[in-house]
Amino acid sequence: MSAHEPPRWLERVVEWAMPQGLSGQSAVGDLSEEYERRASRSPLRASIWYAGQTTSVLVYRIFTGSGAESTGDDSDLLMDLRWSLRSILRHPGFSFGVIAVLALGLGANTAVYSVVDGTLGKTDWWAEPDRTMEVWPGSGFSYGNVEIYREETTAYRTVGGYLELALALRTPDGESQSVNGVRITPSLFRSLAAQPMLGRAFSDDDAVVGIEPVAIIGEALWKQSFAGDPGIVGKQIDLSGQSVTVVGVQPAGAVAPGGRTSVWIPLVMDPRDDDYFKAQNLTMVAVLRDGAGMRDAAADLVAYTEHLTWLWPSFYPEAWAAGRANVERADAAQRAMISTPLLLLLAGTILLLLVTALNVGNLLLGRAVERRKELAVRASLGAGRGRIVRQLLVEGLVITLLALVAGLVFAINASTWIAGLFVGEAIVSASPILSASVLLFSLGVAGFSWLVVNGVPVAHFLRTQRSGLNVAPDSGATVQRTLVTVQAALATLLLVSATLLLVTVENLRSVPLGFEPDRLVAVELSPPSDRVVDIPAARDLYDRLVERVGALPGVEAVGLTGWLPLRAQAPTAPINLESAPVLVRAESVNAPKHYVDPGFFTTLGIEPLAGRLLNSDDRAMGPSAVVVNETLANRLWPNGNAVGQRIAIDPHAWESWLPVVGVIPDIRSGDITGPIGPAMYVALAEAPTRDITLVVRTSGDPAGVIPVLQRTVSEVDPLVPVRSIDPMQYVARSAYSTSWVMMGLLIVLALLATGLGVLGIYAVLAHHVALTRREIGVRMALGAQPEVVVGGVVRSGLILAGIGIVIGNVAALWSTRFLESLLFEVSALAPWAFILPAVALSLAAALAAWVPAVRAGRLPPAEVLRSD
Amino acid sequence: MSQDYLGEFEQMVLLSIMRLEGEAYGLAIRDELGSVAGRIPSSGSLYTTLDRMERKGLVESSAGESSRERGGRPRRYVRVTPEGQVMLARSRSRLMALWDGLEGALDR
Repeated sequence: MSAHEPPRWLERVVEWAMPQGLSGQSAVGDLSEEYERRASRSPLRASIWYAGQTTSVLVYRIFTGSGAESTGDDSDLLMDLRWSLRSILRHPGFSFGVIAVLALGLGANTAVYSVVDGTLGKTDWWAEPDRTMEVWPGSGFSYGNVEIYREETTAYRTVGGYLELALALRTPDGESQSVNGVRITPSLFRSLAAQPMLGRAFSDDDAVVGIEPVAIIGEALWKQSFAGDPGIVGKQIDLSGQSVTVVGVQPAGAVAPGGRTSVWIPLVMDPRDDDYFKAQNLTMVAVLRDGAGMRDAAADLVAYTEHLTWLWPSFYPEAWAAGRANVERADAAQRAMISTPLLLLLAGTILLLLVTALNVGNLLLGRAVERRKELAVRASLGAGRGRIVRQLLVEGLVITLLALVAGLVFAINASTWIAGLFVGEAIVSASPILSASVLLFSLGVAGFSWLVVNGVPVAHFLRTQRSGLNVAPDSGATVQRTLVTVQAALATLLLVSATLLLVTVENLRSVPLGFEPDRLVAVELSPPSDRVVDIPAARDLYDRLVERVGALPGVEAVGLTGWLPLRAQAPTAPINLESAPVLVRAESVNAPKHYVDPGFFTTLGIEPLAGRLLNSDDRAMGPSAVVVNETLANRLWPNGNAVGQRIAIDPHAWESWLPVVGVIPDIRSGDITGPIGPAMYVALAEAPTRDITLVVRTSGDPAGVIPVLQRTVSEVDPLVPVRSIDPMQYVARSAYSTSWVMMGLLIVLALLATGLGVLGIYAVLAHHVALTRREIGVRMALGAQPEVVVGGVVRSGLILAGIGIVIGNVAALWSTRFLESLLFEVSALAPWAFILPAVALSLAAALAAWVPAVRAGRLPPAEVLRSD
Repeated sequence: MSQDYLGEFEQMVLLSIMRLEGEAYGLAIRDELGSVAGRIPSSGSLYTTLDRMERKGLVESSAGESSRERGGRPRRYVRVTPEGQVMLARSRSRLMALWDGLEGALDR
């Protein structure tokens, strides 16, 4: 054994690259002999040298594999490179354009992929995402429900719940700051994928009633508000007026559950607490035990709902157990919101790249045809076919590599921009562009576009070779004709998708909200529980808020609601009808119960359809009146005599009848795409609520009022955290934000690709006409009318495009199904979504053919014939 | 078609082999090229050229001794064949013919 040996794997590469037998063996031997010599001075330098030699062996083997017909100089590859660079520099404008277009395509692909890579798979909220289920019994879960479920379940090993809330954090410098918190059962916290980087997770001992409160904070909050204090664990912090001990720090990026969480608090409740069964505001999440599957989970839920119905027949009427209960993967919603659109976006960018590469290939083909004489001369001088193909390939490779470098620079900026478009979607994030998987992907797409870019001119060259060196002038035609058809097909495919998405966007925009969101601002607040401990306390806070905000300049009206329309769905309550008590009716009715103050309706500009709205007289100490929406009124009293009826909506006081005093038009709540359900409205002061939203109508631009609103709320009570202040337009948009952003991007992509495709068709046809000028000249010299010539060119263009459009439509028939989940009120097979793009593209193709045809038709025949 | 002229690098490699007089193997050729001609070729180009010239019959090679520091791999000793010598001579006389009368031209 020698003292120094070259890296084994490099040696393997050389062995692989060199020919078998003596030649290869001796070369490897030479290299290790030299390595030994060098390593005795510096092993590191020797290794670097060895790697360099390996690369050179590889490069030479790849590019001079068929060395027999080489000129015999060692710098074949260098010559090819020089030749390509020279031909790139000879047409700087052309080359720059080609490289820029390709760079955009490659950059867009890399950027989108970095978001796909950073989002899918890497952002699991749960440690065992495929075993972690969200259980929805058809109505909200209370703490007591979770406890019952935990005892009865046979399918799960962990059963827990969580609740999102806003907290007011007092920072060490005395500032009050609103933070997103989650109350979570300790066992569920331990099922999260992310666990504390400092300190510890919650233990079951943290969830004992009356124990000293603890919290875990997020890394970002720790760094911002506590200057990254390394001794934070064990310290006390002030959360909504309560002193809490920090026991851990969650790593940055851990935002689950809830998506924006920065403070975690153990969830615990005293069985004697009124809310133990009553507050049905928990999200229940459970982890399947080993061996259990979806079927066990479903059976478990059925058993549970039956049990509940048996326990509280009035509260859980059997009807809802039938259809509304559901169990699915806890991350199902995020996956549906994010993965499908992201993958579609990736597919769209890849198609865009394909169209781009085809166009670039077409441009290179145009040049290859111009260069046909140069290539023919080179071939006749003895340059073999392989040699010329290799030169074309090296030229394409140089262009692609330059474009790749530019594209990566572009992608570094674009990926953060794309990720940033998903407002509030914390689970969307971008991988670094320079990470292995993203680079591998972009190398892959670069290789793919290299093939496409080069495939066109090389295919053309090989065809002309077969037909001999004496190249006919229109010899690029067959390849180009195929290009027109392919481009038309791709453009059709994308245009059909874009049409469907455009219609969806329009349909979403025109969904009636039930109110006009212009000039409205929503201020979401989360008062600490001691501020709303009883009705007088809550009323005092609400009155002061309304009074101060209403007096601000630029504010026209102000109202309060427990549940902001479009953002959240209020918890439902069962309804008991005085005229037909629930226990004897076959079908019970549940409806979301909204707490609002009288100002809510006037601020939103809502007029009653019948009866009256809630007024300040309804703000008695107890429930006194109900307003219902049109849907509920029609369901309960189809005869239209809703006003004056009496209903009960509190299952704990099943016979305390409230008069229905009015009917209002339907207002959209959480789900913008679903049907509008029944809803009822009761006076806010009838029950203290933790979550409260101020709706403010401004006289001018709502954005201008936001800072004043923020200041005013903290003046009224610095311990009331502001969860969010947003213009209502923004709230409306974010009700379908993901699909909105995605569809915007997809539409832009599709239109870009279509534009490029049409340009490509034009370029091909123009080039084709230019090449057939002689033929046109001959025909016109023989007396053909210009219209006939023009008609002929347009017809042939239309036939080629037509074939592509048919192919594209067939492909679209199959592929629009992937769009289905994004579409709203439009079928993925809507006939006009296929016909319109076909007509538009036919027109564009006709125009693209007509322009060069007319130009050719105008030329005097004699001149045409002379010029060639 | 058969080549009837040598590339510059091929000539340099052939001349180095002849100068080494029977001691010519990969490393020695590299060193010779480096010390006499001032040009150290990369392994890739050297071995590719050697293989190519052997295929054309300009050089022939035989296995030599192996050693510890070579990881037990043999040396490949190369000789210039008579055809190779003919090609070298032809290249030389062609160049000489072209240079004829130009000896002073570069001094100006």
